[in-house]
Amino acid sequence: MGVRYFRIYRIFLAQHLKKIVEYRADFIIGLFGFILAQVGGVIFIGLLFQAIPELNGWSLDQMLFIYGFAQLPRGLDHLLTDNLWMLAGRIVRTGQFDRYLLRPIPPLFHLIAEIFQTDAIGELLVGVTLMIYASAKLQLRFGALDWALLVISIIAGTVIYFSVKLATASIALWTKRSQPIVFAVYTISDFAKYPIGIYPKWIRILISYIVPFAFTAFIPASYFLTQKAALYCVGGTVGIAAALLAVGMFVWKKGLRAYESSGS
Amino acid sequence: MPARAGSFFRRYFPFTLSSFYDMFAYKGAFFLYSMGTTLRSIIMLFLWKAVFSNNPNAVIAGFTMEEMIVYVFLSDIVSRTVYNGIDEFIFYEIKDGSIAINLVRPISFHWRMFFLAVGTALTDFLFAGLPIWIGLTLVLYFTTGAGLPSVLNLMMFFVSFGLSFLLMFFFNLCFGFLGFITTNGWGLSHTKYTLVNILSGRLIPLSFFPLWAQEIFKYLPFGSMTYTTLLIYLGKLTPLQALGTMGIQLAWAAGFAVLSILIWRLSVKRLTILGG
Repeated sequence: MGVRYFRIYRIFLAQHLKKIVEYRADFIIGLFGFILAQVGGVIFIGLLFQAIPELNGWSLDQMLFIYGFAQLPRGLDHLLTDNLWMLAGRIVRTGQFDRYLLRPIPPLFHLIAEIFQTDAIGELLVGVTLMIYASAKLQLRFGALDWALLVISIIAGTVIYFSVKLATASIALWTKRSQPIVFAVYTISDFAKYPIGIYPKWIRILISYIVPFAFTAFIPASYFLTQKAALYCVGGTVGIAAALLAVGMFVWKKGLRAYESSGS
Repeated sequence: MPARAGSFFRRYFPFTLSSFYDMFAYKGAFFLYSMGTTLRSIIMLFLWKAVFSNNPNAVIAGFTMEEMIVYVFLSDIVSRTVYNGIDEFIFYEIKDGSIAINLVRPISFHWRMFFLAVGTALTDFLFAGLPIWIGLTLVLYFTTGAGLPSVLNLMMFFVSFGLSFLLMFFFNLCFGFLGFITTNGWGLSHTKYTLVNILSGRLIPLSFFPLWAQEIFKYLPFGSMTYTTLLIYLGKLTPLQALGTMGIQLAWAAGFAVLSILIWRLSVKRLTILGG
């Protein structure tokens, strides 16, 4: 069964790669734009640290590590599930959603396999570069266990992004359009790029437990920087990801049942 | 002449109104988008608070903490008001071919875009920027006792705000005409948006940059889009200096206006549309 989906995904992917070859300039422009956006964020942090030696106990290199880490779950989610934005924006409203329901594969799988958002490669490149640079400067030592935890927390972080987007985009199945809701909730992820100690308590609670983006960046990244509280930092990330995935799937399934076509 | 001016407004004013109607039709969306961008200002607010508490000096790169808080929110209000998105609008019209129909109509392309941009700017300022600004001023007044800028600075600020709008309008118009040569308008706009955010001082005041970079910025139009307008509001410039920066804003706006007319004349001649 899994093999079949894997094969289907590969076929969808091949279509995308053809598109990249066809519209090479578009690909490069998109890539460049997202790299530049990340570089802008790095310049900003660099300028801040000209004024201060450290921010609430975190050095420039540690901040760059956190910032780089933040890009990986975000970029992976952007790469794989970007079509959820379209679901929230126009797919339901224009009646195109019916098409997904008529195919012999699960509609959610179809929706996700359809788009492979290569713009995200910019985020991933910058994220990996920053993490390598910062780890070298900080002389971080990664044992086999750390590597495993790193991979697990990045995957769990990606699942958190995906689940939040799925839950908010699924609202469109009732309301026809929910992109502004996705946007407003997604923006909360910007909080997670910086140490959460700088925020007042209510924001810390919001980003740790209500819309828990802190678990996609600062909290897991801080484990690799301090080697402390592995259970909370990585275990918590996995637990939250699992819980959110259940919420996301629940809303999606409810939405599918409530869905009425807008006609076309 | 008055009769002609009247018919001129009757012809173009609906484009301004259309932004108002759009906003009312999608009230919820407008509100949520505004909330999202305000959230970013709130993140910046706490980041700057932490920066100031980690720095022994009360003034960093010429700004006190109270000034920085005003800067964070107001630079966002100014930027989002003058950010009119007409470049994306033009990309779209070129891509789907509707520009061809609009060329046949007895309506000037430049004026139509201008009235459209005025509409988006006014809508955004009245329904998002102004309430946030008033709220911020009240909160600051009651918590830190920070007062309003002087009447003179406030007046100069509004003039500079208007010039920033003009500059951004013609800049985006020129930028939108790139749609005549590429199809990935969205990627281009995204890139431009990022560049403008960094170089106009929306992300961080330009005085934080190293001196050599600031020297280069003097010869670029971006500082005139947000940074100098904010300096006027915060009273960092003498009236004479303020007039100077407004002159520079005007010069850049005029430069891009001329450029946009030239590009337009050249492109329309060789425009070919697929289908339509």
